[in-house]
Amino acid sequence: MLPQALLVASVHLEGERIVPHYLTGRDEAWLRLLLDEYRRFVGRKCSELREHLRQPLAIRAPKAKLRVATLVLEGLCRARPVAVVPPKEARASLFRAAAKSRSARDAVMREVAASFAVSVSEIEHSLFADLQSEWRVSEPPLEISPSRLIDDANLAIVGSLVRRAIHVRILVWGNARALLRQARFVGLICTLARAESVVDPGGSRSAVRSLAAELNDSNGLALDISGPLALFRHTAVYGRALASLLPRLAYCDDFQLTATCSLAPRGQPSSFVLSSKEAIATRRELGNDQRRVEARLLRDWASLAPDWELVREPDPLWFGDRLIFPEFELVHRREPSRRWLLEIVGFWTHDFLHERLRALRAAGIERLLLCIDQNRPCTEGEPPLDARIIRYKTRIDPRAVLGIIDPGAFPNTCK
Amino acid sequence: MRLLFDHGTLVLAEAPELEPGCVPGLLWDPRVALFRAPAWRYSEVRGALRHRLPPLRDEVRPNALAEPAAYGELSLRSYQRAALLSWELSGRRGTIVLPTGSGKTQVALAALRDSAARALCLVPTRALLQQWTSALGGVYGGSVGCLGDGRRDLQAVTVATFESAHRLMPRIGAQFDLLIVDEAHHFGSGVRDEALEMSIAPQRLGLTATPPNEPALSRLAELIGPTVYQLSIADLAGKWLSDFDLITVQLGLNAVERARYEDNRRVFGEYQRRTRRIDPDESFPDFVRHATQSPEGRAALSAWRRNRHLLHFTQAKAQAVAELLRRHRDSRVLVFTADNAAAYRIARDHLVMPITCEISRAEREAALAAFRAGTLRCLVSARVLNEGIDVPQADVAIIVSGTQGEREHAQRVGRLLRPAPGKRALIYQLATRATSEIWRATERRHGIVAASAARR
Repeated sequence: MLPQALLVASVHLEGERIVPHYLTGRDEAWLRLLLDEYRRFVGRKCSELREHLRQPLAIRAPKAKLRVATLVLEGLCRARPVAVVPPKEARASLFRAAAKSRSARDAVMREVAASFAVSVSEIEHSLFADLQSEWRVSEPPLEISPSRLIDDANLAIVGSLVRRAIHVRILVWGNARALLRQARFVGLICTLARAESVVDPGGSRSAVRSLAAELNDSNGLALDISGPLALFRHTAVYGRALASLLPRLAYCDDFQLTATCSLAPRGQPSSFVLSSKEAIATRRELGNDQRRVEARLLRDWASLAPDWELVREPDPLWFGDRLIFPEFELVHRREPSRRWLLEIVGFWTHDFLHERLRALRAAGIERLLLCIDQNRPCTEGEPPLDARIIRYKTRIDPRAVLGIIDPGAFPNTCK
Repeated sequence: MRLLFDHGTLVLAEAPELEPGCVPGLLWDPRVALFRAPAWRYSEVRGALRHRLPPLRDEVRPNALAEPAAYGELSLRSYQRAALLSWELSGRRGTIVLPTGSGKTQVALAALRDSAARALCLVPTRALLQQWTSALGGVYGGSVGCLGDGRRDLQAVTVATFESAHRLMPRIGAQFDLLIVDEAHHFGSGVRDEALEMSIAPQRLGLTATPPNEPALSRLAELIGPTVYQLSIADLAGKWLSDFDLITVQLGLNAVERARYEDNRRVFGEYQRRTRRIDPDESFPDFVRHATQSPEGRAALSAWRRNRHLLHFTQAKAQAVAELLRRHRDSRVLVFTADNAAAYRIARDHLVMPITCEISRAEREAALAAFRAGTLRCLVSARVLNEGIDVPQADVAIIVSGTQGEREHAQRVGRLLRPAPGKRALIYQLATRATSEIWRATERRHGIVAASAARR
């Protein structure tokens, strides 16, 4: 995350809107020079390089952009400590010897250097060699190019803004699941609506409609994401969790993210908009956000039900204004028309389950199993009795699933 | 009705129709269609729902930690006993203000023992994390949990850094009945408050030597409790705290430094005069906020920062440090600087051990132990030694410069005041003539010495 002062210098305000100063292709020339300078300092102290970079480069580079790029570059090239004597040992010996002796500094240095069988300058070098400012610059990896620096620097700006976010609204067209899954995984509250039903901050629906028209897709989703405490105060405590959504955006076909964030700790919130039209490379590897219960089911299923394929993350289902994101689809390998959906529910109440079952029936969706966590009821008593509800505690029993979708496979299986 | 804990908040499930405002802090959360309240209002929410129908089932803590173990014997000084009694009479909610070196931790240990509650102790630094863990280890019969500095061990009595508590409170906020907040003045005005908001602990004890001003003080009273007991250095110096002399050493700038200082001052002064004409009553934080929005303002702020940096460690200060270290070579000396760079420079030049955030915990502990034992006679630090670190052997302090104002100064002076037989502490504060450092030094000196003089 960029330090606050650098982030402030990397954006400007247009009304209440935050406009980032993204790096572009026009910055490539000075970025190339920056990489050259970096390579020239390989083996020298990081602090020397930083001092050197305070001077202007041969090609004019915008100050804030240069600082962002330098920070990103430092992150990509792991500097390392280099010392003849382990610094901790050097300090322990030297400072204790100095406290004991009444001799001058040089005499103490000579005495301690001799005890390590090294020169005075070597012991002097080793003294604080483990401090970051004393670390030595290491060779940047070969794959680092000006365009990679542009991507990473822009991502650092975007990430730092979202890390300071209080609330995030994301309009998504296609593949919203990764976002939803991650939001739930990190404990955020996510409310869903059809994109066209939400209003933009100005109070009109026109902006969203024009975006949908531009995309020629009316099946957009609006995700409003915040944390529990956000009900009571403007809080950036969920910033890290909100920022973890960014790498998932790249998996959506189109998106527009609006983050409400404060640039100063108690400053006025402003909004920052990022859309898929801007060439910000948010793509990164997906983290392991698969819940333990899902991983266990996948593992258990493979050995127990060879006739059924367990497909992760099928397409979501709309019914009315609601949307279901089933975790799995179960497809019979020889008769692919035999298909079931499986949704894993965390916290649940009676009302929620009744309503969900009623709505599914009304929409004619019969082949959907609800797996409910017995440890997470938010209601008194037992869940409703329904053939499509499977209860679990730590793992979903594949036999119970098979007992419903393919009773013939396990004649002795109880539901 | 069921009361549940959800990521630092309370959720009311199966609730009947509730009229607005009937339960303190309870709001309708349309995102999840449930009532929700901030966790820190747990007692009030429970109290308000206790007599309502349907009956309330409290399920905020489905998997509670084990009961705490027993505590050993503790001896308290008279004022420590009085402080503890005041806190207990205030319903075990409140802040105790005692000067540095007067044994606030001892009061906290007694509070832990008397309440016998599952407790989380919050401390600002990793060094204090270690110090508190050791102090608790000496009297607590069970295993002491630790959150921070790479450790994550949750026990019935746990010590956590502010940062770890802030990060983990959404998950652990329902586990503790007592919060002990060391150096509580860090709360009340920032994002850290959320760590206190996300805990249900009904009993709360704040400890500080330097309570904040309004409005932070009121916020602290809301989140921890009001000030329930307060003593100053003047009340304890001589008997429970060491007597001391505070000497301000006025120093000059060399020609190059003076020229740079004046240049920077001119750039800043011109901009400041212009903005003052527009809004003479503008506060400094507002001034800074506005200044960051224009190139001239940013240049002015940059000049101001350069000057502060210049004054942190001038040539004259370097010479004064050398002379004072020579003069007090047989004493136990603490040197306080404004930044780590100056601390390392002094460490290199005079071969004295630096205690900074970059030095590992183990090495810092070894250095502090060596200082207590006398094998190290001087430590230099920018901030780590400011708060909480217990070095009663120190009898001379050299305050080269600071960045945190009066509170930091009081904390630093306090490091020297832990009593020892025959001890009279000597504190030098270095200030540069004809700069803002002089009036700041005078103000700080007045704040501390005036209280002592009044006592005599």
